[in-house]
Amino acid sequence: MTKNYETNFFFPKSAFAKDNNKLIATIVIVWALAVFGFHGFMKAIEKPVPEENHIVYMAAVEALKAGTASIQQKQDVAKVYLTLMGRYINLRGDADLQNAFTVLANGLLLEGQKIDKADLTNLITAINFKEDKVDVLLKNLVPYAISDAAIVKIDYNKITPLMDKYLIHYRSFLTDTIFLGFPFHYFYSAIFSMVLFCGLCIFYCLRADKMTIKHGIESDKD
Amino acid sequence: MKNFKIYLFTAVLLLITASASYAAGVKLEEGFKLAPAIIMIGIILLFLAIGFFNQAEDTSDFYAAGRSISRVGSGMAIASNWMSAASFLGMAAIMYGTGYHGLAYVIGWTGGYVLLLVLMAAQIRRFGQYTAPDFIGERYYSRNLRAVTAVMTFVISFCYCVGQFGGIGLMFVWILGIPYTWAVIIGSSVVLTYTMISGMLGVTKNQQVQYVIIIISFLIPAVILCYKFDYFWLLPQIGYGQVVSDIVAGTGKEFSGTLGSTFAILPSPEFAMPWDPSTGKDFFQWMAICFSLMLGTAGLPHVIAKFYVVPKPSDARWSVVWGLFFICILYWTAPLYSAFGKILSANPEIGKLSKDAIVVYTAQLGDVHHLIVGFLAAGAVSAAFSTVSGLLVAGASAFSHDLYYKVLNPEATSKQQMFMAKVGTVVMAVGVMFVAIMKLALIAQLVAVAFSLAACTLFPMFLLGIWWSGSNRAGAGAGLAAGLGVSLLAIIYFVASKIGTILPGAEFMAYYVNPWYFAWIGAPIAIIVHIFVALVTEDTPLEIKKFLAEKVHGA
Repeated sequence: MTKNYETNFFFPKSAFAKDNNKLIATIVIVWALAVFGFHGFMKAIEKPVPEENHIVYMAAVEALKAGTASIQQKQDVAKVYLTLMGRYINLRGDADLQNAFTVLANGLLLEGQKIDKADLTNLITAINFKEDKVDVLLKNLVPYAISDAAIVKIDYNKITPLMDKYLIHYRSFLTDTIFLGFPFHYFYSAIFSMVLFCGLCIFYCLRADKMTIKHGIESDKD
Repeated sequence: MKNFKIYLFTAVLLLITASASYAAGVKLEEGFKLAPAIIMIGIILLFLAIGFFNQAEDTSDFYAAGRSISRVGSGMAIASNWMSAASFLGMAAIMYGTGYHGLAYVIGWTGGYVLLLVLMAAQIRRFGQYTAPDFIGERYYSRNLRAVTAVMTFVISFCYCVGQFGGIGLMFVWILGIPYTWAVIIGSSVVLTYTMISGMLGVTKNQQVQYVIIIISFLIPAVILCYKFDYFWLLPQIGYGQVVSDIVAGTGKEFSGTLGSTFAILPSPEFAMPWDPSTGKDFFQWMAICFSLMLGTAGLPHVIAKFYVVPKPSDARWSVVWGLFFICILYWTAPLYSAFGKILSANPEIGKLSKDAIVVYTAQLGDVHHLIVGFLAAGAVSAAFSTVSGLLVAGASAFSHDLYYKVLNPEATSKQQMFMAKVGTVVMAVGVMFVAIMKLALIAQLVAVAFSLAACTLFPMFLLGIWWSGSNRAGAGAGLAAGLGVSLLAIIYFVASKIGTILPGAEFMAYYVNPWYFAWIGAPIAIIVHIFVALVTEDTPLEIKKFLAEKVHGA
């Protein structure tokens, strides 16, 4: 009678294969849950959270469209535009955003004043920057935000989607919890996952060494 | 004696390097940088010397380093072989540009080693062949499959090399201040020269030295940056966590860099939040990239080839552990550069920087001493060199051993095989050089193509070939054809988009069968087709089943 030499991971025959495959299956399950399970969970619990800048813009946009926005609203929205251009280098040259900022800036200047790129003192005063860290950075962005092209009516159908795209973020307790200085989810992916991979590999090698000796699979020879 | 010569040579180089400390400071992008150039030339000369003192004497040496490498040594070689320009430069680049999305590359490239270890390493070593095509040829008792696998090995190594040559080119541009095209040509010539004279024995020895250079050059600026900006510097891999949180909340510290940089940034949660809409990358893409890179890791021929250079199967297993640990030291650190780079380049005066060089720019913008920045750039070149040399050997082996000797001319002498290996190396290097000059995408993305290709073609054949005796020649052929079909589709759509041709369903294909992650669908299709065809065709020969059960699985 011919010996059965079939090999199938899911139907191991020898005692070694049974032990080994069980170990492999355990490690692969832990590995998959740690990577894909964690991220699936993070996706399931996340919520789109608009940041303060988005809230400020949405609160003012209808008034801006109607031309009834207060000075304060205009100043706040001008800072939102500057924030976008400060954070996203690809938006720094965005014609619609520059136009929107320039229109708003013109509206903030006193009668008879004009935007002068060589001397932005009037404009900076009109936007009313505070002395905090954020406003100091925003102030530096003003020269980059002024449109050199002739200004046109603001197309809010182009500006509002920019706000949605750039100022809403997916957050959950995993992203908002701080661990060793990191946002937790960032720590998990950038540090812990690799610690886990190394740990799984060491665990497997230790067990495999014992198993192969126990079942006489490997020797010290080549 | 050989070691003494290497130490002597290293000492001379260190003296030359030290003399360069009087060189002028460096600029951000333009101009010739003397000190970094001397360091880089010194390191390349060191590699050449090591290769020269450890020349391959026969084909066994050339392909598998005489099977004499220790576990830790092999782990270092695996790590060095692995830590390419994509790891050294590309990962920080992709995180700098797309934030958390870049961590899919970090997890994908390391998580794949778990699969590689538990499913492949020891089993492949027990199978006892030299190269990936050897394994396929023997397991599937087919010269045709061996030939196709050899071609695939060549193509995968080729794609992988393109990103590396791009990285070498960028660093040569930065150091020598020459145009990108010339930088790629010079870099290619140097890496080709030393691979030609050394072969894998020299390469493996070189890779151990390269690992040390790569990791030290990468860690020193990381410690300095953390120390300088008052973060926890004793363990920068943890210390930069606060940098990430500072980016999310916004920060401003007193610092005025010589190149116009400041240490201040507006609150930027998009840097750390998962699949942020501002990055244009979503959850599906994160998962697809991660999955594709993991499967690709377990199917890359030049990584699998490393298991043949250790004496025993248990050494193959432990070399993976060491390799992964050595790799992780760099991967734990890479996001640090993207985080510091994000803050230091936030000043609008800095303008738009080349993402792929952000590691070096970050050190420069942080006013790290120019010699250390030069060493960092030389480390990047070493990373690219170490991988390219391994890839060129894998490609040359596929060409000379698997195609020429095993298929075309089985009567070939050892000398003829060596000659063909060198011809294969030259052909591949020249071809890669031309494609690298085209600058098709970011380094990490170019390398990701090679991973998806390996995951769709080689991974299913290895996985099923090892773990299922029912996997036969017809199944492997059909699965390979299916995997190749998906791969070709993805690459054709990519090339078409690059030359401005819009094919039908281009948008759908760009999202679901993207060149960076097409293996998420290609690999499962290849596996399903492989299994289905194997079930309905002639069974695997008994001797193969017996060999698999007894030798590979020890039944």
